[in-house]
Amino acid sequence: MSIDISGLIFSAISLMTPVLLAGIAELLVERSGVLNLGVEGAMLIGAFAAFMGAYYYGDLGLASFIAALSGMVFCALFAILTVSLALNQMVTGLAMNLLAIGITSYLYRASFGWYVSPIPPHIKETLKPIDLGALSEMPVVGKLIFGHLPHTYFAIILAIFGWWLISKTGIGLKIRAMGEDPQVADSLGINVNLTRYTLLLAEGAIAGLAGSLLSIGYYNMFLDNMTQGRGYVAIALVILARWNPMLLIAASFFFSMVDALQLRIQALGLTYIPPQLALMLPYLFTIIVLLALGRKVRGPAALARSYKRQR
Amino acid sequence: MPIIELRKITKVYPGGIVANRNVDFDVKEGEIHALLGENGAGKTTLMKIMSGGLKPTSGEIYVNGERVNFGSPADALKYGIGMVHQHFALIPSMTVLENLRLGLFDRKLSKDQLIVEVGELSKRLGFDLRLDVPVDALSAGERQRIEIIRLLLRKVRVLIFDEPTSLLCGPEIDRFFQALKQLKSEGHGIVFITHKIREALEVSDRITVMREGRVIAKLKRSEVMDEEQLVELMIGERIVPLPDRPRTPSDKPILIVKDLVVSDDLGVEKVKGVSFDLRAGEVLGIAGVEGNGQRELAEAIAGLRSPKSGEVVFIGENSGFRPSYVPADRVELGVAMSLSVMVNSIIRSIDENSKGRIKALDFAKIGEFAQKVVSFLGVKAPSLGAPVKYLSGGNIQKLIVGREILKSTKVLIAEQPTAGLDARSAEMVRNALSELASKGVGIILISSDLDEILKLSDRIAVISGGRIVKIFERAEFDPKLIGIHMLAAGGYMA
Repeated sequence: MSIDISGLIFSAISLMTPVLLAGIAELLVERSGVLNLGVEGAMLIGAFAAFMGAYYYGDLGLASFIAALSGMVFCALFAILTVSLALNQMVTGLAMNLLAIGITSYLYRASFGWYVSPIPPHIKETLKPIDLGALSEMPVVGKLIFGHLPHTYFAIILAIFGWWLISKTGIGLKIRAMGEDPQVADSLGINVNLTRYTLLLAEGAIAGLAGSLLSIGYYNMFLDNMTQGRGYVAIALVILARWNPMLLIAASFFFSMVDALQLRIQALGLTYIPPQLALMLPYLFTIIVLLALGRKVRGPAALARSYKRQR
Repeated sequence: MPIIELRKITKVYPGGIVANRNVDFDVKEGEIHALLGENGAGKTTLMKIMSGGLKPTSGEIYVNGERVNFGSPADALKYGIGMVHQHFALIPSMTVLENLRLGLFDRKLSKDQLIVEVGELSKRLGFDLRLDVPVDALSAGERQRIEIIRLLLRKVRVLIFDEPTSLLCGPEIDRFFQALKQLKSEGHGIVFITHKIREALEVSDRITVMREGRVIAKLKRSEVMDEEQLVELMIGERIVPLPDRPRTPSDKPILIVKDLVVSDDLGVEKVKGVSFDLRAGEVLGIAGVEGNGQRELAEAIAGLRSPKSGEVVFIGENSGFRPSYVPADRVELGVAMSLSVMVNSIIRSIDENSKGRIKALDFAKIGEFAQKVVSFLGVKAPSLGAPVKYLSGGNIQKLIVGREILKSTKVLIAEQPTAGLDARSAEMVRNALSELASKGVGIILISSDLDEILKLSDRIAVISGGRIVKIFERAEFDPKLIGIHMLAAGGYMA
């Protein structure tokens, strides 16, 4: 048996994209003190909306836009419940994820019929990699780094931007402050609610876009609960990366390496390795790494604590 | 014309407590105005209203004669009114400079400009701020100076201080007063909330006395005859200190601490090999400048923090024994803010208040015990069922101290037991501790109030830089000598 290393790295970079996108958005939100488990739901909504857009309008750009918009609306609901009404963030996030599964499965059946046909509805075209011409002709590296979807480059740029925003700007300082102590931030005249709304809406759009990759990028169809916990993985990777955007790139890459590896193992068709075991690998990897590195990690002090101004 | 004027302010909290009734108050340019009163008199509420942190139920606020409404502290800052709270509004994990930048609000300053301006302000006030240190590592005095600088960066004209001296030790208090006088000479109006009469007399130009939400008296400094007059205004009666207790501690140790090494949350060693024993019926005072390992030592003995090495042995108790503990940080460690006064009263003695084999809660007993805790030091609470968050800081402190004293125990660790308490309550707490010791309980008293330690202790251990540098017997007590040891090797003076 042999595994093609460069092929493995290429697919890891490609698989990393949705997790990194959702992860960097979630990271910024968490630095402001909000834990949005609903990022999973926002991805699923995005996947569904993108597929519907592509199916009915045949325009992938428009489909991506619809995905981002629906993710944004979904997270706006989370923001209203947790920021304005100060409901428990974890309970709200979990409830919204169940809502997302229910609503996408229902609307899918409402549109395409209640009986699953042998060939599920699919779209003809999927997202195309950027053509960088001569660059991708470079030996070894060219093939690995270039020829990915635009989303991949966007994700990496966004992570670097997130790092710059958090550690180098006044806005970042304010975001960190409200993540440590929203009451103090508020008393200093920092608009906690407005900032958190902005970050959550941005997260919704980015997570929606991340979800669209699944239904109109890697596959050409929508499946029930097709995100399969990638949003939760993104949250775990944020912890693993100690809320540092640069480390998040690395964490996402290694997670995706294991994911790519397990796909290869499945493809080898070894009868003594059940596919379920292979599927489990990336998650097992996450738990082990969290155990090894995540124990003494200190997150934003006010993470997941609701804040309401005293009157 | 005063800079700011409050007219007929009334504040009713959602729980139904009336904190202020028809209060008038004002601050003029270049004056220090002391707001004097017992715990729960409504001083802090009034000042939170003046600085935008709370909205009055009724009443009016005027700045330079113009009617204003403050929606938030930021609004008040725009009008030049700023407050330094008892709990500092700082982010501990961030550096001093970052905390200063956070407070700039709509002022646009580059990092270099900020450093220059901070340098100028510090020079004027005689401060020496270390800008690149995380606030975590700083003493209460240094934190206070950051807050002052931050308000000045925002060009405030009125500075309000809530019990500013309660966490400071002697020399730091003097430095603070010097800074106040400097601010006054620059034309700032200053409000100094306190229950310490001597301090009010020392620095203020005017004194407003509050009791039970009302203004009882407004006096110019020159109209005050003596302290007694103010005591009577504040509480309507005199405090009689109890005579000193007979000192008969036994020789039998009930607690042995051996080579204890304890780290703080960040892994920095704060207690570096401490050994001592505590005898039954003894008060062992631990004196030191704040931040020299007292907190970590107390938490390790109380069983809240695992020591890195060394031993804490309670003689004649099994290893699960937990002593009574009055933590310095009452909000963080002392109470569950949203639970009721009743639950918080019995939360440390649930077993004693249960019955039967399945340990069902015995509500008759619980009510009785809670009532005892409340009446022991006179906790002012709307009802036993009211959440603790509706109580003032001083009343929360009284609740915790009462609870820990009334719960049967052999060892009590009291960390800053009278911090934030008014004279009468503080005296009551001291008397209660004294009485507890004479019943044979061993008490470790950690306090930044050296007078308190000198008065109550049988022995004083001086802690400096995480080590006990000397233990004084009662016969050798000498404030000056103890002070010198507090600043000895490794101990820092902030």
